[in-house]
Amino acid sequence: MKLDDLKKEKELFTIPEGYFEDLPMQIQAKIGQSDRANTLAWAWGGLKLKYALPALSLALVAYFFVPKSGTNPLDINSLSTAQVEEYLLQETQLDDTEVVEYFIKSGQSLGLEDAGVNVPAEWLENEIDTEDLEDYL
Amino acid sequence: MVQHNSDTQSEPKAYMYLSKPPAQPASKAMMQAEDKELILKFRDEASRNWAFNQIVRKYQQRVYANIRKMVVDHDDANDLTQETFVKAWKHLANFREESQLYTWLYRIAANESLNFLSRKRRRFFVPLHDVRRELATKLDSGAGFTGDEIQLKLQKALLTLPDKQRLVFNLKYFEELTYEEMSEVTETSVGALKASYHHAVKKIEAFLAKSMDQS
Repeated sequence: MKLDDLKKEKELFTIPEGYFEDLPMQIQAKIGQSDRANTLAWAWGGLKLKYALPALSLALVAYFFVPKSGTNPLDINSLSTAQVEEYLLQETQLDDTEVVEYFIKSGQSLGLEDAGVNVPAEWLENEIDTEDLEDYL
Repeated sequence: MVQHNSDTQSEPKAYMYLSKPPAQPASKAMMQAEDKELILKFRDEASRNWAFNQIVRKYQQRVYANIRKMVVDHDDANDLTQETFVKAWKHLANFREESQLYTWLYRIAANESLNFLSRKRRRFFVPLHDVRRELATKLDSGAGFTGDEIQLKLQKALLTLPDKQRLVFNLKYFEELTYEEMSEVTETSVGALKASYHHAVKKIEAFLAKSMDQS
């Protein structure tokens, strides 16, 4: 079947009576709503700007003119042992055995060299039962 | 021949047939000159509302008819037609007149229709075929459809096409736009539009032949 054989009908759908007489007014009303919404958005935007600008100015003044303190980046070497200990005690859940295991696994010294005792980490790992050590401590 | 009764509960009682567009100017050149004049008046604050009202009155039926063919339902078509003209109002001041006013309006209407159908699928996670079935069911219910049985089959055949191809078919077959005008509406090359329309016609003819055999 060829499309050309069909009679071309352009009016295929019904519409409510008077629809096109009312449509321009409905569109104008919708445009009015849309414009009012835009005006409100602008007003709100302006209001926000009214407060945002002074706030931003104050922030800039504070940033550039208030003397800065303690702004150097933190470095582990800049911390005292007491600070590190305080952190470990207060802020972490580590217990003594975990600290010992960390040193053993990482192959680092336990710091006994300072006391004149040089104990290799491997030896500690093999020879010392951490639970016994904990009991002892 | 099946005559669909439009007196359903969901539709208003009083009807009029979708009439032909208002009397066309003698030529496209005249129409374009008139549109230019209206755009000029729109840009003047004092005559903006009047000019826009004239534009709406001039093109509302064509814009509505185009959208209605895409979305089938009157309420949806009404919403999208209003939205098309609201968008036209917002952007007409910046309209650069690189295309004709009516092709520009058609483009907004086409985008509104395609986005509406796309949103409908996404919002309800409805598969493509279900949206088509929903539109076909609306046609079958006869609510608002005045065409005869063969026209109903044609509309159902159109629903088997992808949305954009259906739009291309409608613009060519029903609106009788030239390929150049369609190119302005769809922002697609003339060659691609010719191919799309040709394939659409083949698919529709095959669908109609099959449905004739079945009946």
